[in-house]
Amino acid sequence: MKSRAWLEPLAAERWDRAAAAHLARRAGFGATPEELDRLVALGPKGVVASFVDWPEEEPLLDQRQAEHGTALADLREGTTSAQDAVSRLREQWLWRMVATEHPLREKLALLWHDHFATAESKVVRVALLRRQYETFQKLGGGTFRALAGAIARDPAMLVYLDNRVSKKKHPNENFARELFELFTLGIHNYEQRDVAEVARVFTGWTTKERDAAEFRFDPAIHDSNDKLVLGQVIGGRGGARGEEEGDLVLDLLVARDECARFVAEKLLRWFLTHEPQPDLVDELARVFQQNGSSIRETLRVLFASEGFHAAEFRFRLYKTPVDWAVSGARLLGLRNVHLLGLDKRLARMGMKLLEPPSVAGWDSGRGWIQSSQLAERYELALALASVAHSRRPVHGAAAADFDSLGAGLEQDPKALCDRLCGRLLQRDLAPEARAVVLEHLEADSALLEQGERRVAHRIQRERVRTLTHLLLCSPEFALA
Amino acid sequence: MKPDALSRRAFLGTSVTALGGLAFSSAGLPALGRPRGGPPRILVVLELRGGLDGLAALQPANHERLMRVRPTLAKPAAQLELLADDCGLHPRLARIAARFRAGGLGIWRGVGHDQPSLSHFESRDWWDEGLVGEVRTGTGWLGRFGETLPPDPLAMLAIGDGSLPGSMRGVSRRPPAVRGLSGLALRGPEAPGTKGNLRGVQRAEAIERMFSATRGDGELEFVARLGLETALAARRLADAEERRPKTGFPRSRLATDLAAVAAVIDSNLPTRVFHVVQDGYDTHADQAASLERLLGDLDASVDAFLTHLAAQGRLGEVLLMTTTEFGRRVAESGEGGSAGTDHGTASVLFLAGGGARPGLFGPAPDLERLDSAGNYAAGVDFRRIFAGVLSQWLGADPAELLGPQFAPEDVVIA
Repeated sequence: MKSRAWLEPLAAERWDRAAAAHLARRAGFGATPEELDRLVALGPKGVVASFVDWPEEEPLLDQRQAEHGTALADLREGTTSAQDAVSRLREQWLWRMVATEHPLREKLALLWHDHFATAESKVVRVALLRRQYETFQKLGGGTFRALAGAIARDPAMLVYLDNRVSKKKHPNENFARELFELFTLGIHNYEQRDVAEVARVFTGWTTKERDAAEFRFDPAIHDSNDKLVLGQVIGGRGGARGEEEGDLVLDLLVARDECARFVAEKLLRWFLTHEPQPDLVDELARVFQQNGSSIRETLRVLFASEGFHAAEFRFRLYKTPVDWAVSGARLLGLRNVHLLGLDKRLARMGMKLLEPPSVAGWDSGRGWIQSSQLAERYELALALASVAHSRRPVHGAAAADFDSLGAGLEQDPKALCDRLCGRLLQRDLAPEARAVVLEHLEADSALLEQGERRVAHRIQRERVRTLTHLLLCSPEFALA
Repeated sequence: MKPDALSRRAFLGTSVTALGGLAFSSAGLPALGRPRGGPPRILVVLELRGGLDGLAALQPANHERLMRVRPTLAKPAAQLELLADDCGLHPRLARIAARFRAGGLGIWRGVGHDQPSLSHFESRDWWDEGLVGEVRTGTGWLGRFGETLPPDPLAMLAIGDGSLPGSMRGVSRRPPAVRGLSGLALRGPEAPGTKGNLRGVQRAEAIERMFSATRGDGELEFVARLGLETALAARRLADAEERRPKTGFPRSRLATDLAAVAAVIDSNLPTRVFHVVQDGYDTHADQAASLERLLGDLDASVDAFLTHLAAQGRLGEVLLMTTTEFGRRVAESGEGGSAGTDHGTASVLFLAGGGARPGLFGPAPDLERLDSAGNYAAGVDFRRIFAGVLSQWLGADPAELLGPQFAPEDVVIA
């Protein structure tokens, strides 16, 4: 059988609104109808570029964050308990996911947080976690090699996997093992002997003594003998040059075919399908290698490809809790998302940021569809549908403009339902499910009309809330 | 019927049959897994998370080497609840010891496997899957058993932190994992200007109907089915919550979760396998104080649970089994009051309830022959105990669920 060319560029005539919406669900957290209008007008290359080419700085976003007062103000350590401080970092990150115009940067930061997982319970110091998050933001679209080098020197990682205390006399294999198994090659692509040798290579990669916030190479505890890694000799180096050995090992690992496939598979699982076909993985791995391990260029090819837009992949990816919550907030145009207590809600949904369950990161795919976690999603759906209504930006409350969402369709509940399906799901409900929704909408409106709130615009606003609640609970919304 | 006269429960009760045929009642279920025509047998797995120190829970008595390498942690024989000449339970396990002496408990020592992994994650995965080594199925031993049960979403239930334990992960099924019995309920908005909670009731009902009306590809149906199962399970668990015993259980997380298990059993819901957790056994430091607290809680909570079942006349239907991912190092680490133990290999496993074969089983740990890390070898493979529970208690075929190489231990009364 002739193998399929997955990554051929998608034919220009197949770039349509649905393709742009698919890309926005995967590379971002979904696009509103207004955002889709803009994306479609950019044309194929422009759409992909609008996701993968983000600017270094987002001054507008930083300014808005600064304006948000205490809840999102820059953290001053010592002014608040450590637990509050880490909650605030989580809320800031979630707020940026909802507010940013460059969602791929934040989504990749989340991907790398999952990949190079470290947890607050062990790292403890929020400054280290913040620094790591900023590294993911800054380098997440660059070369995988550069990111790996930064993470190997990242204080939170040095604490989390104990490399900080790995010395010539007692090399600690924790980091070395995960560098092979979870970060670069994947299990079975190395031997225990390689782990032991690489543990020796990274002896001396530690943090400054008084303050664990900075990387330091300490030649005094580095093992400067020769090492043999994957059959290749890494010549031992004394003094400050001992640090070079670690970079040589990273060069060696990132250049392996296994690493290209490992990263390509991760990207595909995250952005395209829970079970990527092996030939698709191979094809994307080659793109990764041809582009010097650049994540941005690899994704540019993927997002514009025939394979990425194949019908078989559309609406087939289970949203993670973060994806679910952030896409709900963005598509509703919600403001002040940090006032929803999303941080704690996500913990109950099984995805507490900065606290993945293990160094292997979070569950994926079907693993997210669990009863108690779904029940938490339905609770959040109700909370999102119940935030204050406001046309203007407000302080001190999460709010959305429900009246605009329902404007002009006061007399047409069916069209209202379809409009909100378009916004929240980017597709129609199954006819039977749509009938249930419309039936409930009618019964619900009847109840409201009996009540005290008979004013027409109030009733319409309630209809929008009701539809929002139902559609966020719909199985369709759980899929991207 | 006037709408505002309806309670949520009564309203939903009348509409269950409308939910696309996905309604369940324990009365209508086939009598699978009812060996010899008796009532269905129930298994409660109590996971002691973190790695219970088997040498402290059931300590070799007057053991010269142990006293030497555990100068802080080992207790003189006079302080132990002696079960035999050579071993005794931790003093905080006095109620468990009394049950043992009364012939109501099986204690298995040296339980583990032959390829010790000192990683929590790896070892827990192995215990969860009932497999050791590189093979991964992504399913748990209880989850695979669950596939043979009638397709009721409450056939198995995890009560704890809300995450599904790996042991219960099935091929196609995902048993509910709940924090308490009220946590799953679907809610609608409070109704401004309408009487009662009718608006919220109707909303929850509409969401359930939307789930059952959803048709589509595999992923869509999977989410819809889980959503519907969750909603239906929530309603039955909320009913059970009303029967939760208000007295007789101590105040602890474990006791609360076991009381919830008791409530589900008392309500005659079709749950055949429960999973509860007591966390905190990773006692690298301050082990003496931690075990005082943990084992005291375990002793009181399990005793209260068994006492409750006996009072309800249900003890004979319920088997409780503890698991733990590994034991701990023979020699203590650290000094003085902060002494603790590092990750080890084998540990102790308790079986209680009407079906448990009483006695002390498994060879005494051989502390004179330790491996290079300082751990003793397991004497009983945990999968042989799982195999015994599956075949003798649950009426399942262990060869199919665990592989043919694990001959079942005799864990329950023949």
